[in-house]
Amino acid sequence: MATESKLLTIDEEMKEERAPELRRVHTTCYMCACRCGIEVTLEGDRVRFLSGIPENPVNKGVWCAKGGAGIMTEYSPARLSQPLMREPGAPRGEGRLVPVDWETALNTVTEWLRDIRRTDPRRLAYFTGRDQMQAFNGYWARQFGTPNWAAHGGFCSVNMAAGGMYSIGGSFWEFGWPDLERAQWFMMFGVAEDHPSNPLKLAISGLKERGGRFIVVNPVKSGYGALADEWVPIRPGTDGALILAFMHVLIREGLIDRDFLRRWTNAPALVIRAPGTPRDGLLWRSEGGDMMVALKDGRLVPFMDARGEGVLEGEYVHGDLRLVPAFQLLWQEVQKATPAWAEGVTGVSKRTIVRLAMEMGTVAQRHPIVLPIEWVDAYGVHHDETIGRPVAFHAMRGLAAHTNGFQTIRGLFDLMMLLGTIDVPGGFLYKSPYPKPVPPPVKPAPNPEDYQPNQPAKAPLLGYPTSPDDLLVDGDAPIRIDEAYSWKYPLAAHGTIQNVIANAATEKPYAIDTLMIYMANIAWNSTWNTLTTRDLLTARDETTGEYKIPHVVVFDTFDSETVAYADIVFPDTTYLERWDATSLQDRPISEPDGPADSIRQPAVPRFADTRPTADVLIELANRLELPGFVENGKPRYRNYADFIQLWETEPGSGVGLLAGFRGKHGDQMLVGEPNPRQLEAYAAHKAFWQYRLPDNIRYYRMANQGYLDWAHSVKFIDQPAMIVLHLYSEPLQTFRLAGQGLWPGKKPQDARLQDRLARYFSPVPIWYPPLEDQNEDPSAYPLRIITQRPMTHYHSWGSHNAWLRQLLNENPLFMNPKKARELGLHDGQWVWIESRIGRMTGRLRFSDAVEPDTVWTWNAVAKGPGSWALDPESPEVTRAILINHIIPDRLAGRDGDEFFNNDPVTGQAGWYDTRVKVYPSDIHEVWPRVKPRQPVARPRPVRHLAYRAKGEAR
Amino acid sequence: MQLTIITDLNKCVGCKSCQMSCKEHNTSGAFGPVPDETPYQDPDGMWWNRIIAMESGEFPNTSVLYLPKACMHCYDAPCVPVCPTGASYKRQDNGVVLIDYDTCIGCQLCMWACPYGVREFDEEEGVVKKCTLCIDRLEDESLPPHERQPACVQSCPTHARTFGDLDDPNSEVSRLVQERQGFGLLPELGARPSVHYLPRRPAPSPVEREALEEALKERY
Amino acid sequence: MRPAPQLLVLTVGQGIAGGLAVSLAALWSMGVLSHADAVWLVLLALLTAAMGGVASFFHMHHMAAARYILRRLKTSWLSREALTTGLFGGALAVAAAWSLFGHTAGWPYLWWLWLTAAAGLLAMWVTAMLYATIPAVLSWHTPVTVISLLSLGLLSGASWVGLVLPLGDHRYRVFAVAVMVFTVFVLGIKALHWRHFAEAHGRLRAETGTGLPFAPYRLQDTGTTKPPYRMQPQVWPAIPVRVRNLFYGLIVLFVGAGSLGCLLLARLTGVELFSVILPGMVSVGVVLERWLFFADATHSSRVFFVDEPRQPSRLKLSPRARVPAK
Repeated sequence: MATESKLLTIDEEMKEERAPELRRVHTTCYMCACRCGIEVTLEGDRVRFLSGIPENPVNKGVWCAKGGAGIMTEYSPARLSQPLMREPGAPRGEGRLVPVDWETALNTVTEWLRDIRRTDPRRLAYFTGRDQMQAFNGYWARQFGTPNWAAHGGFCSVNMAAGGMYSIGGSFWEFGWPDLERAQWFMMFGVAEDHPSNPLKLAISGLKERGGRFIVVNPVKSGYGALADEWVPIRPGTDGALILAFMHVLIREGLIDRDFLRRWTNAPALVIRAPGTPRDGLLWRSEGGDMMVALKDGRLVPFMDARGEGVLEGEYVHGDLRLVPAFQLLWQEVQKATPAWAEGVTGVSKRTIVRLAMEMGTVAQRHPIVLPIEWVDAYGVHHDETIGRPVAFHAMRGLAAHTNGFQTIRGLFDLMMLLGTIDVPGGFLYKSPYPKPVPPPVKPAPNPEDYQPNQPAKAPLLGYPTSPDDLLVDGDAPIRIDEAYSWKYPLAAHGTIQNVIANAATEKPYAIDTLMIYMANIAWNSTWNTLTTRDLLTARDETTGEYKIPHVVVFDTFDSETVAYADIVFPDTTYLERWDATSLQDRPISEPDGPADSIRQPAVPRFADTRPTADVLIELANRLELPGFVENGKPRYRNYADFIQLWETEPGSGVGLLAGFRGKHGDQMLVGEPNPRQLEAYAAHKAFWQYRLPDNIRYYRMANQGYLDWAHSVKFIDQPAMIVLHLYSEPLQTFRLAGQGLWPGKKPQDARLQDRLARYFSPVPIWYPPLEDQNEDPSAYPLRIITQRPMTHYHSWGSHNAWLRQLLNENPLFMNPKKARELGLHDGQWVWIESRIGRMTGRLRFSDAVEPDTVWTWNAVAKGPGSWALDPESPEVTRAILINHIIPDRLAGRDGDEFFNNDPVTGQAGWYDTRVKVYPSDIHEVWPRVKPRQPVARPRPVRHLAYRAKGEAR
Repeated sequence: MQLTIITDLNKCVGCKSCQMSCKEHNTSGAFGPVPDETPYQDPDGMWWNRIIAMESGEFPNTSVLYLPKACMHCYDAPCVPVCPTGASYKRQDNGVVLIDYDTCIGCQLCMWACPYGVREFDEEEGVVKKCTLCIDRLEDESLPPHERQPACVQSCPTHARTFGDLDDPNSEVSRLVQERQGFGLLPELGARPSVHYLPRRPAPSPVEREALEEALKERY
Repeated sequence: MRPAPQLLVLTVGQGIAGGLAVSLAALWSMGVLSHADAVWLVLLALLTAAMGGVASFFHMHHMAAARYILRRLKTSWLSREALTTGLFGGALAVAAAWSLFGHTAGWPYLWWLWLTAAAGLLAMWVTAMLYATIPAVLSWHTPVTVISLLSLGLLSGASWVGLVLPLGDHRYRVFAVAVMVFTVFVLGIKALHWRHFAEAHGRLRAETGTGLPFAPYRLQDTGTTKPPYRMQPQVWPAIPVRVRNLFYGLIVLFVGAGSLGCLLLARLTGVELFSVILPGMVSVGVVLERWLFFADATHSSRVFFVDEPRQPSRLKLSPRARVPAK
């Protein structure tokens, strides 16, 4: 039980005198998910300087404000120092936690988990935030046997990932990247800051250096947008309409790359037109399963046999089948999307839409890049040169965080296909190990019996369903606690973390026993309708008086708002204190020119009694004797460092977490026996490994036979076969058929579920108003509220950093002065911001850099009183606003009982869809305020801080 | 020789990398610490390099600009002659303006004299502090060559900052100032700042107006 | 600018001392001063000068370096201020000793009094030049600053004579009239000075400060959430117009009406009390004036910390109806 051990404070650590000698240790940053290579200069054991590693492929020597401020994260007073347990009898949420020793904490959790695993492994839900060991976490959960694991992609950007995977077998982010070294014309949608942040800055800098044209589509002009040669202020949630209109103009102006479409995409594939039958909208395939295309002479042949000569338009009859090329179906959809229509939807003038479409089309088709690089395509055709289209795009949550985001992003990838700018110089480039087949061939096990007591799950827990038969449903009922892969959110490729607490607390679809949370601040800024969610975490069964979620286990480095809701807290280390890997099995640091990965290594001594979370999970796995972790009663891994070096995807596969320095002697890459001294080799190579692809296999990789053969040899892909891009998505059509009741396999019975599938699973990109707009009278809440991510805090909200918090510690509500005058509001005024679920106060700040129908503020600046070792009167508590309070977590009206405010395709939270009205407030302070909790890490009344690595100066 | 930093406003995205790397290096550097007051309450700290964010113009023709502002290492630095003790001085060999903390009396007259508001007062030590152009890095021969430049130049993620000798007509900084119409701030105050900024350089639309008009008229 | 109490006391004290020294020399020359009165006046001057001196000493934050303060006489008005203020103090001390213990009849004493008065004027002038020669403090960068500081110092010093002499008495009629005339002059100078302050406020220009010429101009971020007022005392939050106007009113009331009124009433009623109230009124007015002098001063770096002040067109605007119809 609770021991009397005293809470260690960071002061005592700092006081220790150590010999001041300069040392340099190389590792990987973790102040955000960008994962730059950093050099830690140490004076004794104290951090003197954090800087970029020039040779590192990610940041090439530069580093950002967060990276440099890592020093203050390391020495943050908000750090947890030892395991904690909720005080006996104390209610959850008040932060009344007492220190316990590791053995007590580990034993307690082991007993809970052992019981769960023995009875019903589904009763463990393990969800993580922006962690960078998803390969390990997914493996751990799978070996445990629960289906209920995911990271935070559900509220982050699963639309972007899934939209890309179901279109081109890659996406933006860690999956691919605009080639701004060669692009002449670059359009960026909805990005304020992103986590390949330093690479994006380097890339934009290169574009500007060469005088390239930069277009920013965003309701707000800030950050990168400040450099835009043209700012396209768009109404939130309408980008899909803009993209369809671009396609409309491009096709009509003849500015599309027909060869590209014919050769590398399924644009010429013949689609069966047979409404009301189970084959409607599916591709017509040969008996061997090849999709068929029509040639100019009217012959119908398999796609590969057409060698890029398939026609894109027309109508064909074969027997009793009516067949149409997929491209024609796309054209039918975008034909409706005239620039005039799009102007009404987006607020962007018709003139601008036509001009921008002509710009991108002209630059792509009339000014191609020709590189003297020979290559051989999958048809066996030898190309003397490599043709590039210098038009590039980048997009992120401005497209993704809407309930129409998936289809919008599908639209963006189709637009890129029309322009012929996928994996070509100057366009979009894949990052290894992508491209993968569309979608990548990984699927979770779909049946209830795949998750049995004391058994590992039958398949990886997350993946890409290709038909309704792959869904994790039992009839209409979801198998997962978060309802991912259910009829509600069928393509929830990253899970839907935002549904977990509400579902667990209401026991829908079932009750759970233990909720494990790692690095996700689910009781504050990583949740919507925050106050209700906090209530749900403390909801009790009316009859027994027990918590609806009986056990909450939190892994965290800092005293976050969520820590207050934990029953057990495991104190994590910082990134400077542990071994870690960024893996090709996870989200690698690869750049377009080849695969790369990196490690973290301990640079400073561990603080107090903390342990790396991965080590704790391995300890738990060993105690639970999880298969894969324990063999013949013997643990395979003592800690995560062991796991990084020794684990393989399959026994003997030769593929593990790290791709470099494999084999007994460390001389193999990508595939090779585990190397027990691999981390040492990485440490000696500035903490990263990189392989540069030869030029002839660097482009057109979806169809570059040389690349496909190589990728197959290193096990990136199962077959060295061409990866045909999906202009038309047949998998989506199968779900539509299920909605129409026509699919022969699994299909839903509930009419609302059927309707959603039929309506939103269009095989060609469509635009529809965000669900919030459909549910309510838009005039009641005329403004859209969004957040922008500050470059100085993106992903670093949770460290309570003495330097970063000076850069931004309160956030006004930015409003266009034109709109404010219409509403009779003035600069600096306190206002109510009211959405359909509640209202809050904020202080207005005029800005001409926001379009009039949008108001915005910075994301996640506010903090709860008592958390983060902050003084309760800190500006983050008393003057900063958190709009999560008024972002609806559920749909409006009757639908709200069943459906979360998520994209109906992927389950991505639609947190950019919130509508509000703004009017004067009589309260001149932040409201609502939550009750202060008891801090674990107590606020220190430091009056004056003069940090020196070498103790005090002068 | 006049060492200086040129910032390309056509590349600066306002990420404050330079603001932080400055503090990070200098707080443990030869001219540190760079202190913070009540860092865990309502914080207020010393920054030798501040990124000013501003907007101007009316929607939708709004300009948003980020301006990294540190010591301008002026040719006629007004902070130097006003100093009664000579603590504030300009180095003859490289033009860097520095403060000798041992002779500074903390009268803050130099802070009045500096037109740019880049000098900050350390109440604890009773001296004025400011950007040293990382002179302790420039002159530290134990550092590898790429580190012998100001921390803010090394860290800048858009390579918007260039370091060099403005008196050398063949240097990169001189070339940039000449070719890109580099400008100094508040020239009317006569300090002749050596720090220069390069203006925005917009890229025009590649679509001819006539072609657009024709398309709009005939088809849309 | 953040008003530093030490500088307030220094400049006000130095002004009073200088004014007293000049008044003393003048009155002694006019032969209307008794020896005892002279002793009191010189002691008052010494006291106020010492107050200023002590205050200025505490304006230094790093005492260890104080020994270097005369190093930059060639360029630094502050070095010169230290010297001239020291000389003035020394001259005053000698004058005080002389008055108390020496032989005061004859020209050497008179000459020394005038020498002291000159040292006072010199010290006041150097101090005023320190402020007036900083181009970055747009409000101060004018010769009017020198005249203003000098004349206010003289007036306040002259008013302190009232503590010793009943200025309503006909013996001091010339002196009283001179002070009244000088008061009107001071008010005129202050009006000029304040006009310069107002213009300086409007001289903050985004186009040269930042390179952004378009209006409206908004500062969204100063590098940290807060303006760096704590770290950079050369800027200070703008004084609200109402507060500024209140100060204008009070200063005119205390310095102008106070000085003229007290002297007139002293003369008309013969009540000595008015003579004693006079220095109180004027001193309060001068302290208010000095506070505003610092607090309302516009520093050029302010352009980086606040939105650009709105400048309405100075042209006479024509009504819309004058635009010719097509």
